[in-house]
Amino acid sequence: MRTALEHPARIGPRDHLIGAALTAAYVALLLATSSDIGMARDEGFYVEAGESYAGWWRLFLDGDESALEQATIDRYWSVNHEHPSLPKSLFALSWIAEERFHLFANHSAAFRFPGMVLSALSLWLLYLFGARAYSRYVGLFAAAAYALIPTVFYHSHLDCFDGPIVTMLTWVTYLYWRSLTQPRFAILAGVAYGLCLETKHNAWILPLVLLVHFLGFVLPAELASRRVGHRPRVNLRPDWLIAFALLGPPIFVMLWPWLWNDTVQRFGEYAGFHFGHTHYNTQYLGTTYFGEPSPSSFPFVETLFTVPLVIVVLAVLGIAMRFRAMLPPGTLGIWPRGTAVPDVRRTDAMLFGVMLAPMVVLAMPWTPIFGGNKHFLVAFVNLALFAGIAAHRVAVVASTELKQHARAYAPLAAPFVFVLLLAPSIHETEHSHPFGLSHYTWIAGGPPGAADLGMMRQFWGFTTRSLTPWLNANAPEGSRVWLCDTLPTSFEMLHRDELLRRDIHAAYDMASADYAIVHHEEHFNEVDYQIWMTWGSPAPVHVLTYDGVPIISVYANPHR
Amino acid sequence: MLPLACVELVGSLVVRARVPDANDWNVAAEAVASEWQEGDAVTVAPRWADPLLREAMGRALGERFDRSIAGSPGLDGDTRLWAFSIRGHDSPLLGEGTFEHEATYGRVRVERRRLPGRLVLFDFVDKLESASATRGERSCSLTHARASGGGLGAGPVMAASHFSCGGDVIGETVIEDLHFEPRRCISMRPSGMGSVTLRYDDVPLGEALVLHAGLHWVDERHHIEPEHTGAPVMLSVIAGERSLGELTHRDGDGWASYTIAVPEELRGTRQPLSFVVQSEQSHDRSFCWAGRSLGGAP
Repeated sequence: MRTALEHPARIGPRDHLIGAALTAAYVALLLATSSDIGMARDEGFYVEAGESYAGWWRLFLDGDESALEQATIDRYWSVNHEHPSLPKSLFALSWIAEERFHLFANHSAAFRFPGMVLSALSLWLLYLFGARAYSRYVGLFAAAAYALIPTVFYHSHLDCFDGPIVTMLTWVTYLYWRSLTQPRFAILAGVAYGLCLETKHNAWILPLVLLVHFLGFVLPAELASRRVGHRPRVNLRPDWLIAFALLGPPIFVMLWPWLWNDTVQRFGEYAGFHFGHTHYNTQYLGTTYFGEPSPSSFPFVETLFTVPLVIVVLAVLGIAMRFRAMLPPGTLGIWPRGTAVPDVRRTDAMLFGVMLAPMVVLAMPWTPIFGGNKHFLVAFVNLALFAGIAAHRVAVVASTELKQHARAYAPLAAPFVFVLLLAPSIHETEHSHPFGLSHYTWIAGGPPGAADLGMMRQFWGFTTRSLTPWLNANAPEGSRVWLCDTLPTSFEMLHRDELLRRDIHAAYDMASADYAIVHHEEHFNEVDYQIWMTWGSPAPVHVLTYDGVPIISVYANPHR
Repeated sequence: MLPLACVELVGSLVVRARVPDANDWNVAAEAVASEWQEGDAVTVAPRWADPLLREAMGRALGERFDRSIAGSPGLDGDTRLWAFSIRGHDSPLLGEGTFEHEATYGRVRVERRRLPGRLVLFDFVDKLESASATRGERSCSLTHARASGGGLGAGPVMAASHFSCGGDVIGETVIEDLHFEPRRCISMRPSGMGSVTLRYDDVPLGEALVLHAGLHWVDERHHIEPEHTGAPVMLSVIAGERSLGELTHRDGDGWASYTIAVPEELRGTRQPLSFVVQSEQSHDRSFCWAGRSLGGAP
């Protein structure tokens, strides 16, 4: 295998084939495992939005001119207008395709499919990024390491935006990076940024991060290089930023019909929602947080506890290996040891910055508390790249050793290292399914260790799906279930997907229900106590567990 | 790095292998149920295992396992404590009483401790329906309705039998205290129209009245974060015309215990006792209390 990280081989169609294969394989895996995961709370909202938007798309695709009238647009697009429309439009189009051609195994897969594809495309990007910046081994390892982070695997299933926005942010970063030496990529970067804006508001901070990289690293280095007579290597005009500014907003508005009327006022409403975002209750290291200050260590500890330890350690080693190359221009002297040399695009500094930025934003005490790691999954992309750099080094060392002591086995060194370093990730991801949000890695003591530490158990009420075998087997005909945190739309999807008996219904009044469930999050304890008072008994008839940790308690109404 | 991968892989498998299974809980609960006595209490460590304990104990004890056990306001008067534990945890309640017995069932450990066990002369929550209530000048009527309400953020649910005082109620409930623990108690919100009074006509008095009080967590949390703004709530205990004591709950106290020594001359007598709740603030003051009149050692 190649021993140097710099100056990788030319990337060609074969690499795109590898990227496409990674994407296709991941989508296939996500599709095959999708029905194990119940619809999360937010997915239910996006199904409602997708079905509403589908109504408009049908009119539009049928050439109905009323589709462009404000009354029609508002009728279909007002639903869930706190988030942009691109993913939800894709959910809608996928749903229309399902209605017409019956392409999917069940309804939820139809809504989720675009999210799966958009999420899986990050692997293609990640492979290309790694291969171009460092080596094919780095790219391949990074793609696999990212795909096999348990929470990434979970979120990649959903008809939500958290997987897609990772791909969009990575795509924009990649195109920005390429535009530094090949200005023609700037236009594509502008288009990608528009699509990124149209995917989720995480897009807002990326230009700032890239601008810091451009002004603080790329520009000074290039100017210094030119001053000593080197030929121009980097485009000093920020074409990418101009493209972001010129193409981003129009694409953002163009793809979101709700913004076609009263644009300024409605954009203000959209932005205002996120600037004034509510705090989500989050249990973290024994404390349930309800508001400011947000615990600053949260994103870092959450990363340590949810990303397989080997990948975290590899990433730290990769950062250490490349640290010298991340230093700002003119400061190389403070780290005289080592051989890492910055490239003209200052790739290492960019990746480090893009990795750190969302974590730092979420670590600010005044940032709204969101909980979970879904808001900084993009950090894991870059973390995986640094892990890939260290994995490459391990493979080189192993190969060199084998060449000296068992030459016949030397060619096996790289694949052996690849598989062994990813073995914990494979195991953890396989085991985490379908409890991805409840999973914590070995360093946290697994799910029971995390429960001891007072970490958040779950959110979104999606685990009701894991109860369906019990309900199907035990609930008398016509039973009504009080749902706690599961959205009615999400519960109904269990019927649509034929995972729950049709005669088992949702109940909206606890007292008259036959069963009541409690999704175990610390601040939901009050629901347990309400049930004790309503039905008299504090004893659940069934507790759904994951590695011995309670996920859902089921109470039966003794008076039913 | 390669050894670390092996350690992480094996470590994950070990974590899974050490998980107690449902049978461990059931066998342990059945063993406890076979020796269960009136006055026994139960706890579990870590607290997150509480649903597993309740499932197993409910199965083993049936209707005897009720909310007075699961939502016990304190151990006053209880005679024995069964402390379940897993994963090497120790219940904070293990400091109570003296060790009697320990057994392990699979991966579930059960320790039994003898508690001081003072004689319970009167339980104010259990005997709530024998009391009379007034809110300001207005009498409250004892009503029997279906328990209703429930849902995230909906607050405590009142028992089906409760005192109806116009727009408010006095009744048994289980609140979630500041630390998310269940506390079975009598809900007595202060009134904006004066004091709220609960009167028991015939209470046997012993050495002490042990009271516990707190607010439903949402009300108390809102006022301690970021600053204390909720008004204190006072509970006065009056025997006939004589004040026996008063407790004051301030935000941040959480579920707190108070002991009122009964004057020597009243010990062994039966007295009418009034519990009077007052506060300058009525909204967000979901005050709830529980208590027992205790004698000496049984």
